[in-house]
Amino acid sequence: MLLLGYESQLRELNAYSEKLTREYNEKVELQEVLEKARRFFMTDTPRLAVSRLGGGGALKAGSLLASGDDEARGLDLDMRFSSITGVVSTEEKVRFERMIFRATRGNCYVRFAPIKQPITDPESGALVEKCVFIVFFKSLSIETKLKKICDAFFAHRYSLPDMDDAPAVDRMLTENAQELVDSRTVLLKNQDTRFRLCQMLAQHTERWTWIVLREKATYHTLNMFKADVAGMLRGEGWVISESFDDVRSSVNRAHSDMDSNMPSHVDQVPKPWPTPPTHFCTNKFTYGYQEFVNTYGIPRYREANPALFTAATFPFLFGVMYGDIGHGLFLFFAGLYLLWNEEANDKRKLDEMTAGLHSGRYMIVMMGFFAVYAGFVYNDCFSLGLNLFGTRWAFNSDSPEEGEVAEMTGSFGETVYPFGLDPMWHVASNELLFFNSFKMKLSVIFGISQMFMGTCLRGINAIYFGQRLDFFFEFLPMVAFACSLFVYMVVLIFMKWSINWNSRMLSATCLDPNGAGWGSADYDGTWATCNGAGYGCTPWGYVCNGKDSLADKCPLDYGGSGDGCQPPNLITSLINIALAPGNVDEPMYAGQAGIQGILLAVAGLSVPVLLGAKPYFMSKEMASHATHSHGDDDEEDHEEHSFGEIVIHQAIETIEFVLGMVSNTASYLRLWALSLAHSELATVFWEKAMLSTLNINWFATFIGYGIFAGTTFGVLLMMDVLECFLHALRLHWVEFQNKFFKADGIRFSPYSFKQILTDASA
Amino acid sequence: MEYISLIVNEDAAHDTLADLGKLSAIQFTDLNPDLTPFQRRYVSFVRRCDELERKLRFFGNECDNFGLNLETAGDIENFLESNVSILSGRTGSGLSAGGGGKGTSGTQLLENLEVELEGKN
Repeated sequence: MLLLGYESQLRELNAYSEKLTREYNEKVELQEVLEKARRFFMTDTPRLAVSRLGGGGALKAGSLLASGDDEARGLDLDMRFSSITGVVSTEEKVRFERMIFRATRGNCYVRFAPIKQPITDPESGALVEKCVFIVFFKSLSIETKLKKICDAFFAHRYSLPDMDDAPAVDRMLTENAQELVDSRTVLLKNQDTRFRLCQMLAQHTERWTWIVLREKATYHTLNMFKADVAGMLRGEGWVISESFDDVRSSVNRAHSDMDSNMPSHVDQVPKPWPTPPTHFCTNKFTYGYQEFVNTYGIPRYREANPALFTAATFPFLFGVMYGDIGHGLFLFFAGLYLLWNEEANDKRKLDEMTAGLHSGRYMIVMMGFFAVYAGFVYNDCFSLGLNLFGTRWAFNSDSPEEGEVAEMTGSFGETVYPFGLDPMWHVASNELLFFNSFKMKLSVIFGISQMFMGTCLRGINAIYFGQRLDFFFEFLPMVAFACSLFVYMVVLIFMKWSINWNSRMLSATCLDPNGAGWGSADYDGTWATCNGAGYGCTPWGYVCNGKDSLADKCPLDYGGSGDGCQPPNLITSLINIALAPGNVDEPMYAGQAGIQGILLAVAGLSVPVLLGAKPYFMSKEMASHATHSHGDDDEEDHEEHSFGEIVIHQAIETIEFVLGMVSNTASYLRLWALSLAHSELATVFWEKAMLSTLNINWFATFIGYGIFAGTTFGVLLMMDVLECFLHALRLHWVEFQNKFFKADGIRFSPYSFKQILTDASA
Repeated sequence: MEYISLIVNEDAAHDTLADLGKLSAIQFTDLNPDLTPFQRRYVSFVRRCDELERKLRFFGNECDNFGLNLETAGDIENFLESNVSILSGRTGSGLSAGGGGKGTSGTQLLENLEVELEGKN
């Protein structure tokens, strides 16, 4: 640690350099002043002399400042003016001039001449433009004023020899020039030395900084130790269980190096321990997700870590929102590029933006991958459908007109598009209707699955911590509530998807037995024989009379007006579970009304259990505890207080969960909304920028492509990625994590040189 | 996580902690929370380190003025590994090796340079 001498040396050199620079500057300035003054006197003095004789007429052309007073001065007898010369910075010139004019009430004559070379400011080292000035004046009081002004403007004054004495001036010039050369060499030498010193320092400074930081950290930590016994220090701390042996051996090694007879001890402190900090070993892949979770809150010690689930669901939900093959591929390759440069980026110092992208590189790859996957499911590539496997719909004519109906090439269930949605939907007039219905249902399904998983994690936490009350009276009612209403909704969605509504609806339609539709393959059952007349029969043989209701015509007997033959409006049916219990208008299966009644009862029962059971059992426990211990009044007061707190806490928890299930489910609809926004934006850009210009001419197409590429990059690849990212993040932080995540842990911040040095160099 | 207590010899404390710092597996709790930073045992050392840090920052600024980039000291992990030798070099063999080469310890290099520079001025 002998940097001390080194530092003082550099400081000395610096001070010396400052002094030298100042001296040098003075020499330079003086030289300039002398030269300028000489030139001035050589060229202007004759004119002045003339002006003296001619009543100052010549001065009128000389200077505006001087022109005011030359009348008064014209007939002055003594024309020997005193003068002050000096140097002032060019920036200040105008103000300086004005100041002089005001202070002397115009009774002086100022001339400026710029110095061509800028002069280094000795203190800051910056280059400053300066100029020489010369002021002529008469009285002594003006002289003191001028000197003050000069000082105020940091203008150096230089006294001149008598200008009439030309040899003296010349002598001074040459002398000064000689000194100038000398001081210049000294200055250069000094600069050279300083440069070499700095060059050497530059090689080592960082290394030394690291050493110093390391020592500092060591002593900081030693400050936390306590000296119980003389010569020994005691420290306490948290160790990762796996590293316990390493710690022990490294302590022993350090002691054996010392050849010391004094033994060292590394022991577990007897319990109870304070709250342990939370530490997760992360790898390159999970690091980013763990940081997500930590940003929200550090997991409580030993609590289920949401980062693990986030690692899988985050990119997936992003993909659901971003779903597009083309844009997804860009993102995917951007991520791959980051992976490709992984090692180089690890070593380099990156700016904040790039460093963020670098730490999220695996996330970006995954997000890109799932965006492509979801794009294939939506069959959406830059808003266009890809006909990869051959569409299962066909138009009757080769060049279909607007409004023509496409026919399925196979019957229901026989052949479907192998993966994703049929590209034909992209040209259908009900495209939006179809995609919205599909994506909305998809988002509800994903949302409820994720929230249900979060609720299950709460149960797992309760089991792990052995909290019986939490498990039986918090987790189970929650599951019951979620299952009876929300998982049931998912079941209904799947059920509606898997029922052949074509056949069911046909079965409740009156057909003419001699018509073309009779005997169609759309009907799953066998066609009955019809002996009705006029109004025809339904496929199962019911004879229509023209006034029969849907329930009469439907062969299924599920009740309600639909009777099972009418595809239900899911939203209405779900709302009616609560609003009109025991009554299902358009059922999908037999006994739906009864089952929904039971489910509603389960949900209704689970709420009071959730609200009341845990506080009740806790108060009972406390009461028995109190009778055992016979605590004094203070303790009872405290318990009363805490019981009230428990009730309030539980009420909040219940309300949050029950309302949260509803509002969070709605919140997951953002999956649909963002996906819709993405595909609509892509459609608009494609149609307006590309399609509309393709038909004009090549130049319009050229411009159009530019617009298309620009908007696609700026809006979809930048803004939309960010937007989907933030919404996916929100879904995890709010909708998923509030089901189980306590997030009140303390982060494990080990005593680590590596961390300290990384922080310092960042 | 395990909560441990660590009792070390005062003389060996520094080396022990230098080792533990490389391990990055332990988080010490402050056993003297009632003491202000200035009342602590190793205050003078910390202050010296602060002083040195300030000087190094000054060096950095000076180098900036000359437009010199600070050379990186390489990888942090390598640095932590290799530094054992410098520490032991300082406590052990001292001033045996001469010259301003890279092999010598940092402090020694400093001394040499100091002598050199003084000779020049």
